[in-house]
Formats: sequence, C-alpha cells, structure tokens
Amino acid sequence: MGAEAVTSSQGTVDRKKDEQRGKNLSVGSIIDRVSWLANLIASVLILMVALAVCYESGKRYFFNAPTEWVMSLSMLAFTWFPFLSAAYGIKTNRHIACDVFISRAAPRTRALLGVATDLTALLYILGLGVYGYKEFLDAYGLGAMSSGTLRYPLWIVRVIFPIGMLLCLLQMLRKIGLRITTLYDGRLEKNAGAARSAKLMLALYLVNLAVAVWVLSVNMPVGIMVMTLTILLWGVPIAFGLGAVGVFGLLFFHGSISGLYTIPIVAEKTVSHFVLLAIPLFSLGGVILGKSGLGERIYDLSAKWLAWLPGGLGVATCITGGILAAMIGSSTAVTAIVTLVAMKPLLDRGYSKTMVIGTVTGTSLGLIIPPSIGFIVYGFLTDTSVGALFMAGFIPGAMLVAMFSVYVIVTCIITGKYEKMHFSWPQRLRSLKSSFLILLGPIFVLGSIYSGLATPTEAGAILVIYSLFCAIVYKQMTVKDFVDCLMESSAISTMILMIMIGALTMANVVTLLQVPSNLAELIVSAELSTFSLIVILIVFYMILGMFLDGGSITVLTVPVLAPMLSSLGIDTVVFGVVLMMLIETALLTPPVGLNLFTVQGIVDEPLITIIKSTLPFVAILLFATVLCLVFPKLSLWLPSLLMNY
Amino acid sequence: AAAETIKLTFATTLSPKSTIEVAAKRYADIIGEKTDGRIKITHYGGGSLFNAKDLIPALAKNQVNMAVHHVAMVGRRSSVLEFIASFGAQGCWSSFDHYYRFIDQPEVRAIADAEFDKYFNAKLLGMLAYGTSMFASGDKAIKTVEDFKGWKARSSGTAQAALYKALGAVGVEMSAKELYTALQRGTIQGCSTGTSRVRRARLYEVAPYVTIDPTVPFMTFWLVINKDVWNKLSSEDQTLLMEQARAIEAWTREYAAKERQEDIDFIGSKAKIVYDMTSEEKQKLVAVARPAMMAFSKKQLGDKYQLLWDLLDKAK
Ligand code: NA
Ligand code: NA
Repeated sequence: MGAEAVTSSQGTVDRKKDEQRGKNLSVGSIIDRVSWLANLIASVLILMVALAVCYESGKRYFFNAPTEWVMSLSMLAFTWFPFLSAAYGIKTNRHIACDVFISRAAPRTRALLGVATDLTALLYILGLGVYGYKEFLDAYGLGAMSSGTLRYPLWIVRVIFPIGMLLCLLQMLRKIGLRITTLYDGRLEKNAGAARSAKLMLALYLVNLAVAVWVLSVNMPVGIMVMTLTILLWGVPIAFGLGAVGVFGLLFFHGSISGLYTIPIVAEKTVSHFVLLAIPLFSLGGVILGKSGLGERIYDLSAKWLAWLPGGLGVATCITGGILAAMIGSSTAVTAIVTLVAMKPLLDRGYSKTMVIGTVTGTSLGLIIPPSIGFIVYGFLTDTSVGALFMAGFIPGAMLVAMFSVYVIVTCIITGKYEKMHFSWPQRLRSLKSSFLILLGPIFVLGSIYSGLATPTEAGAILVIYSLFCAIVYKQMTVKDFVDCLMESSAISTMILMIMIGALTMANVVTLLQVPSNLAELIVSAELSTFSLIVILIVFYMILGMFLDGGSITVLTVPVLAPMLSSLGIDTVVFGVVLMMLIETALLTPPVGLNLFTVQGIVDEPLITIIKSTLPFVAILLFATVLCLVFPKLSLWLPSLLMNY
Repeated sequence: AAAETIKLTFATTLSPKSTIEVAAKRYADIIGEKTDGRIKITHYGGGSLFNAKDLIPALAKNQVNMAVHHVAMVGRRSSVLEFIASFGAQGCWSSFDHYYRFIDQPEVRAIADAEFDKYFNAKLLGMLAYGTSMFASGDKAIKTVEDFKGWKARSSGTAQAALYKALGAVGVEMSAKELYTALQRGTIQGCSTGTSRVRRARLYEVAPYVTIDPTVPFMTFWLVINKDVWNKLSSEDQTLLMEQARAIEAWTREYAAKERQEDIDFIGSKAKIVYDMTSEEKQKLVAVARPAMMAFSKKQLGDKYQLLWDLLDKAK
C-alpha cells in the first residue's frame, strides 16, 4: 500500500516536471503542439462529415436527390481521421495497455521497461509508415483512382499513412526521451538494488521476447500466441502491440521483408469501410450529450416518476442507464454519467453503499442497447448488417434493465434500506417537460434506423447534430467545453480504430496459418454438447475479459470464431448480442475492468468494495447471456419483424 | 533428387458453396494430386484472408500467391478487362454461347493476359464462369424493350448505367445489401442482379416479377497467379497449372449452368412470373444496347476499341 502511494505521488511529480520540460524544450513542445493540432483537425473533419451526411440524408429523403460528393468526401475524411489523431493519443497516453503487472513495478523499472515497450511499438509504427509510403508512391506512379461515384487519386488516401506514422514516431521518440531523462535526473531511488531490479526486469522482457521469436520460428501458431501474451502482458500499448505481433508473423510467414506490404493494405481496408465512420460520430454525439447535462435531466425524470416504488430511486438509476445507453454507444461513458448523477441522491436516501455502488456500476448496457460501437465493430468483422445487430440488441437490453430493476426492488424490500418518496403530478410533468427534448434523442436516432430512413452511419451524424442542438438549447457548454468534447471524442475513437487495424494485421497472419479453420474442425469433431460449448465460451471470454478491454477482445476473437459459428449452430447476430453481454461483464471483472476503474475514479472507494458490490449484476448479466444463447428468438425477433433478417 | 516442395497461398472472396469457391478448392486439390503433393496450394475461401478489393493489391505485392479476382474490381482498373468479362458490352451478346466463343479466341486471351501483366503484376491462368443475372421487378413484369421506359432500378457500375440510359430506365446506385429493403419500400421498382442472389436474398418476395436477363451472360472471374511466383516455376509446372486452369474453367461452365437452372426452378416455384423474353424482343434489345455500349466503350477502350468489337462480331 505504502509503495503504491509513493508511486502515485511520484507520478504526479513526473507529470508536472514533464509539463515544465515540455515548455522549455522547443523541439519537444513543437511535436506536442503539432499532435494537438492534428487531432483538432481530425475532429473538425468528423464534425464536418456529420453536417454533410445529415445534409445528404435530408436531401435524399425529402427531395429524392442524393448528392455525388458527400459519401466520397466523407470517406476520404474518415480515412485521414485516425492517422491524424493517433499521435495525440500517444502524447496523452490514450492508447490503452494491459498494465496490471507493470503498474506494480517500481518507478525506475517502469521507466526502463517503458523504453523497451515503446521501442517494440515503434516496430509496427515504422512498418506501417514505411510500407504505407511505398504504397503511396505506387498509387502515385500508377495514377490509381478510388472507387465510388466521385473518384479521386488513391495517393491522397495513402499519403496519410506515412504522415500519420511520422507524427507517431516523433511523439514516441519524445516519450522515450522523457523516460530516459527521468532515469538519469536523480529523482528516482538511487540505491543499487532498484537499479539492479530494473535491469533484471528489462533483461526478462528481452529474453521473453527472444523466446517468443524462437517459438515463432519452430511452430508459428503457438509462436503467435506466445508473442501476443508477451507483448500485451509486458504493457506495450494494445494497438501497436498487436500490430507488432503482426509484423513478426508476416516476416516469418512470407520469409521476406516485403511481407510487410500487408500492413498498409489492412489499414486501408479498415478505414475505407463506411460503417466504421459511425464510431467517431456516435462517440462525438455521446460526449457532447454527456457534457450538456442530459444525465441529470433523465435521472430527475425517472426519479420523479419511480421514487414511490420500494427501491424506486434504484430502479430510476437502472432506467436512466437504459435510456442513456439508447443514445450513447459506449458502456464506460454511460457508467460515468450514471455514477455522477445517481450516486449522491441514492446515498442521501438511505440506500446501502453496496447497493448503490453495485447499481451505478452494474447498469451499464451501452454496448447492448443500440447504438453500440461494439456492434459496429462486430458487424464490420463478420459482414453482418449493423442495422440488424442494433435491433437484435434492443430486447435483450430492455430485458436486462427489467431484471436489474426487479433485483433492486427485491433486495430493497428484504433489507429495508431505502426511502420512498412521493412527487406530485405537477412536479412529474415539469420533469417530463424539462427532459422532453432529450427523450426525443433515442426516438430520432433509433427511429431513423428502424424505419430504414437512415443507415447506422447516418444515424450517428443525426445524433451529432441533435446533441449540438441540445447543447445550444440547454446552454450548459462553453466554447472551451466544446473543443474538449472534440479532442476527447476523437482520441477515444482513434484508440478503437487503431486497435482494430493492429488486430486485423495480426488476424491476417492467424488466418494464413489456418488457425480458425483448424480450430473449427477440432471443436466440431469433438462433438461437444451445446451446454458445454456455452460454458467453454463464457469461461473463455471471462478469462480474456480479465486482461483486455472490450474492443480488443472483439477484434482478437471474432475473426477466429465467426467462421465456425454456423458449424456450431449459432446465428451470427445472436452471437453478436451474446458477445456484447460478455464484454459488458468483462468490463465489470478484475483485474482489468474499465467500468470498475471509472467508478473508482469518481467515488474513491477501494476497488474491492466496488467489485463485491457489482457481483450480483455480473451474475444477472451471465444469466441473461445464457438465456440469449438458449432462446435465439430474444435477439432475432425484432430484426426478423422489421427487416426480414 | 526429389524436387523441392512448392507451397502456394490462394485466396477467393465469394460466398461459400458458390461455383467459384467450389472450383477454387477443386483446383487446389487437383494440383496437389497431380504432383503427388509437391505443389501444395492452400485455399483461403470466402474472403477470409482479403476482401475482393484488397485482393488486387495483395496479389500484386505477393502477400498472397494466387487469387480469383472479382469482375467488378478488375473492371474498375481496366476497361479492356471489363469488356472481356462481358460487363462492358452488356446487352450485346446474342446468347451465352456467343460470349464463350468470344473469350475462347486466342486473341482475346492474349489481350487479357497483357492487361494482367501490365496493371495487376499477375499472370492470367483461367476465366471462370460466375453466373447470370435476371431482372426482378416489384410491380410489373419486364417483357418487352418498351417496358424498361421509366423503370426505376438499381444499376451497378458505369457500363450498366449507360445501358439503362439507352433503354430509358432510371438507374439508382446502391449497395447490393440494401436491395431487399429498397424493393420492399418502393425506393426502387426493380433491379438486375445475380440469379443466385435473387434466390438467397429472397428478393422474389418483394420483386415477384422476374425476367431472365438476356443481356448479361456468365460473367468472368479471373483466376490469376502473382507474376514473380509464376516466373520462378519450372516450365512443366507452368504447363500443368495452365492446363488444369482450362479444365476447371470448363467445369465452372457446366456447374454454373446447372446451378443457374436449379435457381431458376426454385424462383419459379416462389415468384409470380419467371419470364423469358421472346427471341424477337431479345434482338430488339441488342439493337438498342449495341450503339449505346459502343459509344460508351469508345473512349474507355482506346486503341483496343475496334479490335474488341471485331472479335465480338467474329464470335457470333
Ligand atoms: Na448504446
Ligand atoms: Na475485466
């Protein structure tokens, strides 16, 4: 405990020092400013795309006159987006890493290991940059054109690979430089023991990496697995780490450095998918709504109408979570808002701390209730209609809200730890009036998808415009807040997109090695019962969920599992819903559980208290997962009713 | 001494069990058998390795050694190959056999081979038969050339747009995946799309008036190998790969025809009408289409324009 306190205070000192140094060091601060500016440009591009896409859907719907330029230019902006903003992610440490083990090490060890893991990440950054540059030259020389109605030279797309990776390279070198100066500036423990253990850990990492390379040369599939574990568990940022595994795999499989051409091909494939444009759009809309006070209003509304029930405020919290999830595409964002708005009123009304923490943490259904960034990624990976997935998530999501609510009511009746409240009808109607505008949000967004007026991507654009409208009407946002929203949401989306590109590079090698088809044959030939299959799946995802975030889990496992779903007798859409439930569960399980960390960051309770409080909700989620696997109709009924899925 | 084993990777991008996927697997197996496993081709089917679009640069850069390239993706880069694949001369084929006679001419093969060499860093092995199209319509059957006038239908690609314009139909660009919903809501009246898609996507439910499309014959998908890999093979191996590619080509023609007939029979049991145009109307359609397609291809084909149209006429 004491050691951790030292660590964290040292961390703060580090950061302050770094900031100062950033101001003094001219080259470094220029790099920082360029990254900041590039990220701002990236997010403004997305904002403009949102406006253009809305204009396009309106023009098509009302005047039956689609434009030729909107789709093409939006796609161009989107291909530039993650590469412009990736370096800012490095600067602000947004690229998540699996650092459960590393974070426990002493500062000197962390700094030294950080240099090594950053250099590992650079392997991939260089691979994408250099071979992206070659692809750019190729397109330029051949005069290759893009596809689509409005065609432009392909080199305009590819030129962003070397530019973006150059920015990442500079930012990474700056980070490494800062780590090295930290090592030598004498603030760290000076004793010989600390220095020795730092060097020992570094040697361990290098030996581990060497062993992984050796295994790769003996047996590639096993080697890929060993290398993935090595690189992730030693704390290389996931996006670049998976890419680095891909680099090693491609080199070994093709037996030549020209195997790295796959990296820019995969990157281009990923960012030229229209449906993925929905990720930055939903993310921007969600961040703006969160900052314009929607959480408070929705909570006020549900509380006024439900507080008369036993455990009514708890139920109101569950409902608030559900309504927010119907506008926000990520789970962690919903959890953060619910915790901020519902925590205090619940504690004030005598609800037990366990119940309160459990409810605010557990009611995160952002990925199951549409819109969902998870479904967008899954739909892209499995070539499934994102619209169908969105519809499929609705009933299971509503079912979970109901199950959570029943649990809250029953527990509150048993423990008696709650306080009923009564509000008059004028009060209720006033709360309805004040949140009416926000309630229209899900109706607009989901309605436009369900009625077929808009594709999920266009719905994302509608959400952005709608959130801007709410922000203006409720007057809760300053210009600075707005810029923060832009910067934050683009950093979040880029992190997801970069993880996808890295993981897909690795997935290319895994496919070359025929791992999915061999695995499927193995499982099918083992003739497991449906029940044992379900158990294996759940255990498998629970284990992954202990160490990885939802996005990484999806991109790592779906390309391997999706091809075998049909032989296992599981529908692709149903599996998508089940996967989102398992990921929501993973977000609630230690040691890596983003939602746990989010709540801990707000309530300042020990992690163990939060984990214990959340357990009943984890159990309900797992129960619902089994229900969805056993009764596919729960997911499939709505898509089959509305869109002939 | 025993010759060295050659390992090749081979990617395709169509739906499992379709003619091309079955043919690709078969080709890989036959080559393995004929060489007693000396040449081992690993087939990655169904777009598991690259999708249709990425496969073009991936093969050119030898990230995969062999591929079946998609008619539309190839057509985008080479108008000559779009023409040879039948798509750039829509409505100009008097029968399926006319098209096969056209592509079986050595001159046509030589032109296609040179295009793959120039733009795709690839050697052409074979021209696989994919399948045919039909017109599916929601509110009326297309029986005569007159019926196309004002018909609002999904078109795909610039060549088809030119044909629609000549027929007086209104072409709307949209993704094939949106067809069902668009037909259901009346966004479009109909579409020209693959016979197997009409069946598998149950388009006959929302577009029950089906006309067998005489304008698009069995389109060609391209069986190719990376040029550097090809050049490293011994001449015996090259001959074997080439001969077996021609054999599999013949096999796809039979298999695709059988599959097409099954699809048409199935659709016939579900749709309101499966109409086959009279030969008189078919000739009328060619008469309207031909000048339009010639005008369309004039700029695109450049110096190959006259040669290709002559070869098309020679095959009649
Ligand atoms: Na959501
Ligand atoms: Na977890």
